[in-house]
Amino acid sequence: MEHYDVVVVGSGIVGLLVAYELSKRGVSVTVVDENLEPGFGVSKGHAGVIHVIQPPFSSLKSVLAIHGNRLYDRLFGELGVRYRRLKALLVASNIAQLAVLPLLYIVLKLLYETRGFKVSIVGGRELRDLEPNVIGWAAIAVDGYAVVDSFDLVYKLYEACRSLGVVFHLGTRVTGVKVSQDHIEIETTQGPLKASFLVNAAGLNSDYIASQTGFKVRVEGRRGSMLVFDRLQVRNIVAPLVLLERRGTKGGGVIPTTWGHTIWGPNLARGTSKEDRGVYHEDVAVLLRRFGEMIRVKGRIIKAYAGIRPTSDKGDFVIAYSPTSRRVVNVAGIDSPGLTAAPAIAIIVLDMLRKAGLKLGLKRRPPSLRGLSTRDKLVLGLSVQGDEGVIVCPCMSVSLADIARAVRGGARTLDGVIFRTKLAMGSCQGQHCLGRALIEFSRMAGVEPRYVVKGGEGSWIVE
Amino acid sequence: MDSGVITIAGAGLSGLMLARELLDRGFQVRVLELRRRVGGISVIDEDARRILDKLSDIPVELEKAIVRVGGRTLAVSRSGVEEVVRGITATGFRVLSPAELGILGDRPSGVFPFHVALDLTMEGLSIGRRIAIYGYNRYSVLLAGKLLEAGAREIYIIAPEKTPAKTPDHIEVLEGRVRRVRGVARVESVLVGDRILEVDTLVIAMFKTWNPFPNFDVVGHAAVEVYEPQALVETSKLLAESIACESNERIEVVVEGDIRVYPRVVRRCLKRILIARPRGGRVKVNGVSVDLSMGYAVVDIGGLSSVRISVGG
Ligand SMILES: Cc1cc2nc3c(=O)[nH]c(=O)nc-3n(C[C@H](O)[C@H](O)[C@H](O)COP(=O)(O)OP(=O)(O)OC[C@H]3O[C@@H](n4cnc5c(N)ncnc54)[C@H](O)[C@@H]3O)c2cc1C
Repeated sequence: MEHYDVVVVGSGIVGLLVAYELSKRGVSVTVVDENLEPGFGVSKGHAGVIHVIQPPFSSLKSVLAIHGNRLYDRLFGELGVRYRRLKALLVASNIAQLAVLPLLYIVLKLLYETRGFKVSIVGGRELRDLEPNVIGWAAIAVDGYAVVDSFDLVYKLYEACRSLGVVFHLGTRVTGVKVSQDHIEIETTQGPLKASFLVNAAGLNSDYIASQTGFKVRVEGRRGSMLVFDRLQVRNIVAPLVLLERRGTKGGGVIPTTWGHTIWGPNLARGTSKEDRGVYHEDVAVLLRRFGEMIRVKGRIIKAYAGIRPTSDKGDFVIAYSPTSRRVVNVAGIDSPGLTAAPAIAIIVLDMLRKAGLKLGLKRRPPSLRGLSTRDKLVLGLSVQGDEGVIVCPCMSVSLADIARAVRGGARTLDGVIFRTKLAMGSCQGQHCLGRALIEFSRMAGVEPRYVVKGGEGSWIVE
Repeated sequence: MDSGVITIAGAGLSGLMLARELLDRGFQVRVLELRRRVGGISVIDEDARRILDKLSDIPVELEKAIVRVGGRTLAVSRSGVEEVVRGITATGFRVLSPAELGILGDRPSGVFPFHVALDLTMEGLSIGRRIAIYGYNRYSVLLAGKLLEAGAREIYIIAPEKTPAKTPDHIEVLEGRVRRVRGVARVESVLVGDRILEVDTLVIAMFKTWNPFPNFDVVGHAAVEVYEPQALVETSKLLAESIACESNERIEVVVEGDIRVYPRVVRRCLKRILIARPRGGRVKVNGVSVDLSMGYAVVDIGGLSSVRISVGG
């Protein structure tokens, strides 16, 4: 039976960062995930914002978000991940909002500036210069946010982990955990695995894995929907200035992506389900109402998608040993802003493992993953030749060489290629490229077209 | 790239026809095509094929894409990158996205934009067994025929608007709007109005014009929503005539209602213009009634100093 120092259940942003930090310290790690690609759980459907703080300010969430936010600059640099620092602008678009602006400014200044995030008032003219597509009287600006290409982050982490020796068992579901005195055995759909320590980073399923080790926590699903526009509408994250956001009206922000699109959302839908990733007309209506009046829309809606937040019954992140053994660290209920907090969560998990007896070696230098895509080269005015010049997706300038790089990087599904390369994510939503992409991916991966899947098991594309 | 050369983006029916018309008038042209074949979506259209056959001598550079990066327009291929100075967009229709059409729900495999369904079928791959095609037009009907030939068991064409009395007898046409897609891994059903249609595939065959290269002139489906091959040919002829005009002097064209006029800028030397309206009907051109039951008409404007077009008549 394969034996590792640590088995991590879940290859979302949390599991990947834990595996990355562990493997940098010479620990032998395996990551198990039921999906065919890393990061296809909750981490696939978020908004890609690195937040600052999160009310309530005393929560673990808030503390870890602040810490995680600060850790990201180094991490992004180390991995060469695409990201951009920016502000969040809370915009007063009507008189009522303008009236509460001074009060809110004082409150935010007090709360945020003590934690290191600058707060300022943006007047009407300045707002017009800063955000020509935003309609508003004035705004409160909070510094310290960032947007990240979250797929770039996930796949760079995955590649870095692999080159540091982490063994990935993808398409492998954990069906049971046995905790013994000196080791842990996990049962999976592909056979058993043994490890000295277990990290449960199973996202929406973290309650199930926890229960297998005697730890009780309930995790519910809270859906959030987002709309994607094919052009940039804003330079910063923009949201209406409101004092209290309730479920049903909460709607996130207008978010510029690092690749030139705009996301509206996410909202917080009524009801709870861990399975339903569907987008509903009422969710879209909430978003259109919330932002429609404050944004001069540029571009058109090219996509609507939803993600599910794993929210714990404690209302906060849960990071705890199992009562049966300190060899098990549970990370459960990592809803928003879990992406932001993830690097800080990884540090806590490492510390807990160390305290439970895991030996951590000296930090190794991570591998350098910097490489340019065809699009990068064209933007830089460089010439491209050979497969680098055979463009498959003209909207996003994705070439045959980019697809080959995705395959080398471990893409096993068409979505895996799409998320790694941005193929089919442009204005024409794949009409000119998906056919060829399927054929080329099939050829490069050595898989017949009828066995290529879009994302999950059973998601066949052609027969 | 030599600024004297006109680069045509797209070797579909209108791009090739435009190349022929410009070559005949003594211009230097090159035709660039993203795909490894010519013909665009007209390859499944018998009427268009007859015209395409006559254009098979036009040289086309295959696997050469035009892209816009950082404000520049580039032709990119295996052999390198060239800046395009003077280009014409002939890249065809844009397929509307599900989100734009108000189709929400799950995001399983099996929802194809028209072109992808066509490309895969042309490669001999089968995109599904029970297929709904959203959009009722020449191309959706042609694709349905092609898919039946390729072994699809059931095909439904879904028409968002009232259909004419006579529909093709080999295909079921349903009226209604597709509102949701359901399916975990693969499409399991689509909601059409209040009816659940159990299919494993949804093809979107609703189109709009689109020019991805704003500094280029535009021809064919990229410029006008028409569904007759002959209409595409006409746009190419009109653009070539317009490009050949010696003077830049224009005539004024005033349009009322949902009518499109091609070319958008009408030079005085142009003797004819194309009027398009996908819904058909009749229009009045300077008081004279014109039939648009084919979705378009080419009308004579020779000698007129201004043109006024309105719906009705
Ligand atoms: C709509 C939405 C928007 C969001 N926006 C933001 C944002 O802008 N900023 C921010 O900071 N956060 C945001 N979040 C929160 C963030 O996405 C999550 O906190 C984060 O992705 C959680 O990562 P994770 O690794 O804990 O979980 P996941 O990514 O879900 O990883 C868990 C993995 O475990 C695997 N797994 C589960 N059970 C098993 C099993 N039995 N066997 C094997 N594998 C298993 C799953 O397949 C999954 O891949 C958002 C969330 C949502 C839903």
